[in-house]
Amino acid sequence: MKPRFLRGRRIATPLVLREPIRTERLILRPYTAADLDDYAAIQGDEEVVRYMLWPLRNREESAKHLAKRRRQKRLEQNGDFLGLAIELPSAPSLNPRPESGRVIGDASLLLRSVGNRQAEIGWVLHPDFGGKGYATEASRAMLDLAFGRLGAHRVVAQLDARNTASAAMAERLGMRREALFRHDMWFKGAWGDSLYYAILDEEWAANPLSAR
Amino acid sequence: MGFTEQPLRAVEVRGPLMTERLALRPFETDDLADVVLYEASTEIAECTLREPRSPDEAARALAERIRNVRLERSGDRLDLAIDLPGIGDGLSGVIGEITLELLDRQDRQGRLSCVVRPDANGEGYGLEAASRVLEVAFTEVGLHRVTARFDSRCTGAAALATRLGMRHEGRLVHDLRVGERWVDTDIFGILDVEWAARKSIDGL
Repeated sequence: MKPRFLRGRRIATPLVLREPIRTERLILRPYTAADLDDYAAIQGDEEVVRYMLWPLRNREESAKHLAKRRRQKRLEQNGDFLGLAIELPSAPSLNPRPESGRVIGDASLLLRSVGNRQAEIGWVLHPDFGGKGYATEASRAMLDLAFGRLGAHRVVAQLDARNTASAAMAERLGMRREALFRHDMWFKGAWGDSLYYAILDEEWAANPLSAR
Repeated sequence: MGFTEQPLRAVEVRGPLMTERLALRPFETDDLADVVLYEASTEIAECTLREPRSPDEAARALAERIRNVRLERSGDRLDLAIDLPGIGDGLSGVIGEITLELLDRQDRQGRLSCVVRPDANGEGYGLEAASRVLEVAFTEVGLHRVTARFDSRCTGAAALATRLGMRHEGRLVHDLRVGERWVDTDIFGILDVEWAARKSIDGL
């Protein structure tokens, strides 16, 4: 990515997470080095990465990716990314010397355009913790963050068109299905189709899932 | 499969691409008078997702277009003037422009946009120019998918895209801020295989 001084306009109040976000059952927080065991279990799971741009990563590659996640903690300019650990405090971490509960997934925001106030949301969950509404719970908090503190006007989600579980979740969040792009990327050895979901600030404010 | 192993070819346009009635050619400094005319049009600005341009802005934009004659890397643009040779005392000169952008070299994605001056509308010039450039996009550059993106209020552009055989893939609500308003954009797409099938049906 281009260096900051070439990436143009900055938002007036950059979003930096100082305090963890607590939801009913979860904690969303920046990653620590102690999260590696849990993070590698997510990145090394074929089911998790099947429909994601992520390759299947071993422990060493996961460690590198985790280090990158830990450096990205500020949303201020186009292309800035914030990836947070979804921690389930009631589950034991895979780390033999744990410093927290288990990290069961990843919740992210990408600042796509400062001028157009556009952000993109992403979510990943370890399949052992699927079906309990954790990804929805985390994503609600991320939408609150995007529309509240970041000041986004529109938040989009891009999914592999075969990823029906994620599409269902986007719909549960009140996101509208806006587009189906055919063959918009070469993906893991074949042409892939993408689904595009979006929600506007006023739509989220009127949504019963929103904090407002 | 191995689609992506098929290399994308670098394409540079030096002379005009001819169609039945038009010459699609690189811009020249002498085009400024024609360009200023349509750059100031609000109707055109709307379709191209920007604000109307002053003569100064139009001159700067023209200087940039003159250089955009080669597609090789992601982000490269091919900007061509749609030149209508004069016949009698009818309309002639640069009646619009057509652009092919290389969005992603690796995934062989491109984007087409076409602008025709309002006083030259309704003659099928846009369709004629866009068909020629789509042919270049698929058979010479080697793209797999070409998209078009415009303000959803721009019904002329949607009609043109449909006539080219492009599919409406979606409408992005408040995708862009232009001046003081939020714009919805329509995205159309067509794949190389769809273009090839269409050509064999049309017998082009």
